[in-house]
Amino acid sequence: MWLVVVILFTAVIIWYEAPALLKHGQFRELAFFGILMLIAFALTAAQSLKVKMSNPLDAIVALYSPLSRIISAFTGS
Amino acid sequence: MQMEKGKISLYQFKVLVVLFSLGSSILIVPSALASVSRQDGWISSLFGVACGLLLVWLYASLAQRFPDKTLIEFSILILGKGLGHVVAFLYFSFFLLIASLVLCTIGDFISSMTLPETPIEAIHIVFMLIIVMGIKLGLEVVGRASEIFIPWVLVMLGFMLVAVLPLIDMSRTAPFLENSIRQIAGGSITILGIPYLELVIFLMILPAVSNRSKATKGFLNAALFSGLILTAITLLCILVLGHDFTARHSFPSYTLAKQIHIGDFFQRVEIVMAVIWFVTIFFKLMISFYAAILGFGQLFRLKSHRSLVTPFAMIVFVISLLVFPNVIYFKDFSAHTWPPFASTFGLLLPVLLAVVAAIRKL
Repeated sequence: MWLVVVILFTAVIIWYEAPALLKHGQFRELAFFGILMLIAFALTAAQSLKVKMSNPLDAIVALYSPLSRIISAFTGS
Repeated sequence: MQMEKGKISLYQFKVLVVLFSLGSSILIVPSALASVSRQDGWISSLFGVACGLLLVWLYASLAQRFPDKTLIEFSILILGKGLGHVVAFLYFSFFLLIASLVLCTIGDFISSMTLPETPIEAIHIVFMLIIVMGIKLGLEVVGRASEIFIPWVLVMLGFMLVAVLPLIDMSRTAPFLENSIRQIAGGSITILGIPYLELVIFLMILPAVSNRSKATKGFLNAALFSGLILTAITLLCILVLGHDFTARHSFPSYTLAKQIHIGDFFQRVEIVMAVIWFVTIFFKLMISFYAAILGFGQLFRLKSHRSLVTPFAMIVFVISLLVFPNVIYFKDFSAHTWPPFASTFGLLLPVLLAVVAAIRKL
């Protein structure tokens, strides 16, 4: 059900934004709008279908874990 | 190529700095401070504010070198095309991540404190809708809106600070300076991470300030003012709730507002206080989201960024639902990972930019 809402919402946004960009001949902006809209649609559609996505923070936590361990050892917390 | 033509006044800039520094930190910081340096948390806070002012001075002096360029533009200028674009893209991701984390914080707060039956997605969508409206109207409108809201925030904060005064128990700060200097310095890392290292975001806003000559002083004043408010709130949390209770709560300043009882008729005012958090977090989210979109536009040399607002709002909405699976993860992340992560963007890269700019005599 939520997938339908996502599709409708995406369609409305494209219908609202794209003609103005075309009219002003901003093709570069239109290309970026298209790519971003595609990413945004993929993400929201996956979210609406309850697809399990990985947490972007996990990568940051893993990358910074040596440094954060040094800080915790320093402060004793 | 200047994408943003809107100008904000120095006063509006200062108001935005204050609202940004209070947003989300006013909820998180007291608990984080009390959990590391316990009853001396407020000393940690003062220490953190002092170090934070040095950071603000660093940002302001960087901005002074390039008065009409944003952080994204001058990092490309300083580091050259290849490396500069990488750094600029990292900054863009950092701003987008802050926006997602802030949205997650407010959603978490509302769904656990005031609207427990409402799905968190609904709260995020409603919040994101006003952000999209605000960004589409431009920075000038955001600046003027901040001018309208700041008296309300300050009056309500002042009221809260006065109304909990009768509940103070001075013995709760004793034993004074029981914790080691290392613990007190370690506690200040939290307040440096949220909000001071995040203030690097204002390097995206500073070129839009009309009265640039006084901007450095205004930036420092606003950062000091909000630091003192955060210290006062932390001190009151410790004095009224005790350091152990403050550390255990996710949102101790909200619990503090719950304690307000004047006579038998003036109670349950905490939701009025929650309005302060809504307003401050709204502006924090607005500024970080605006900085991300403006940065993206400048990075890819786009003529307008209005069309990018809605797709990015959808992306931020999904990221905000993914980032914090539970409260433990959130507490652990903001206490241990966020300070070193934010100092990469708030300390390491600005220092690098300043040094390279000085060497290349830009």
